[in-house]
Amino acid sequence: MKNCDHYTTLFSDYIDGDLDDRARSSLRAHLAACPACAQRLNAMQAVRGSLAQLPHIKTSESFDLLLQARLRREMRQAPRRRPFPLFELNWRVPAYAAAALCLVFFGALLQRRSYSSFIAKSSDSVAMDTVRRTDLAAIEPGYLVFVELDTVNNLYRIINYGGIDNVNSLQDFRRALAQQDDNRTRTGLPNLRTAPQNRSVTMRTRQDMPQLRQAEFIF
Amino acid sequence: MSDLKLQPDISDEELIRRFQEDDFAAYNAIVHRYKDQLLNFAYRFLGNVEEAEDIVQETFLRLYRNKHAYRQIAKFSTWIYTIAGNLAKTELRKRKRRRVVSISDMGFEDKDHEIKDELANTEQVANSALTEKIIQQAIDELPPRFRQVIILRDIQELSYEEVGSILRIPLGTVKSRVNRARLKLQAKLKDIKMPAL
Ligand SMILES: [Zn+2]
Repeated sequence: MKNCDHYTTLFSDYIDGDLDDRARSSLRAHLAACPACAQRLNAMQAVRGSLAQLPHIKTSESFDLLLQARLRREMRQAPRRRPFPLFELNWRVPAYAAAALCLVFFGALLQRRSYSSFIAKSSDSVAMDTVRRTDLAAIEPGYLVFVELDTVNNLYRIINYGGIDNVNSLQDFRRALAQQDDNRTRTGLPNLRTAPQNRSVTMRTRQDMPQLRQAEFIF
Repeated sequence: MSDLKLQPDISDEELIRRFQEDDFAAYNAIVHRYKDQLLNFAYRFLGNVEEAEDIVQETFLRLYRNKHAYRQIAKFSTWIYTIAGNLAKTELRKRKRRRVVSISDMGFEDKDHEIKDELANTEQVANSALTEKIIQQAIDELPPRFRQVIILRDIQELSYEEVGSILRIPLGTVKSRVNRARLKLQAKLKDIKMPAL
């Protein structure tokens, strides 16, 4: 008579229907006589069922964009090392009225080779309605632009931007911003990480600015 | 490129062959076909969505750089899973190194104990999000070699043969490892009445 340890090695094959007749009837005989093994096999089957039903997740909105940007860089072969452009945060925002938004800008309208003349300043305080086309035009496709929503004055401010051309991962980008956030805390500015997390917000798409497609909370 | 995406009858192997001849549409079709699948694999392995996304990005970059490393003798799916799996394992090792500090800072953490606490009110385990969390936590606690086989076999539902070629281990080893992984998970989760997901 074989012991429980032996029979448990057969469980998977049994569940998968891979046991030959002899092994199967021998296992069945054991299960009939051994409640512990029978219980274990049942539980194993239940767990296996739950695993197969785990929800599937999907890649984020920024995934394709970032991949395309990284491929473009790859194709250019010798990547120019650009400094990662980050604004200094030197202005005040109404406390607790701010939420950080991450805007992904793209589209044909934003095609432009050079961004060195980026015009939007960290001190810019612009209602979304009045964002100048020229400001946006200076942003290459695939730029992540971080905007704060000021719910008191009902406007957005550009607080930070970075080319995902220069970022190696979404995590890098978020880390860089977290660092900025720490600086904010030190200087007494509201900490953006307390803002709602990962909530997707669909923004108005204006007819004259179809490139502005989606906003996403990042902190 | 959307043409290719919409043609499921083109095999992976045909797509990679075209990409090896510099057809970028074929590359995009591969990305489209595999990104979510690989994301779920990496996510269940690492338990972190952002890390998982970065792993998948890196996988596709490697595919781009090393397209000629693929040889027709292997199934394309196992080849790309091998790349993603190796990257995920590397990430896990990096993470362990990062954690050394924080664990000694915070004192000894008894993970098993945490799970039990969470399961104390078994009756209340009623919503699927919580069930998922508990299962994920149990997966996270499996040693990586068991975690890999269980994810590939029972979550991604690949065949034993495919799992074997992805992990480069013989079929017999895959089977016994899957069995042990299932037993381990069963032992961790046996006290929970699993509500439907
Ligand atoms: Zn027994």
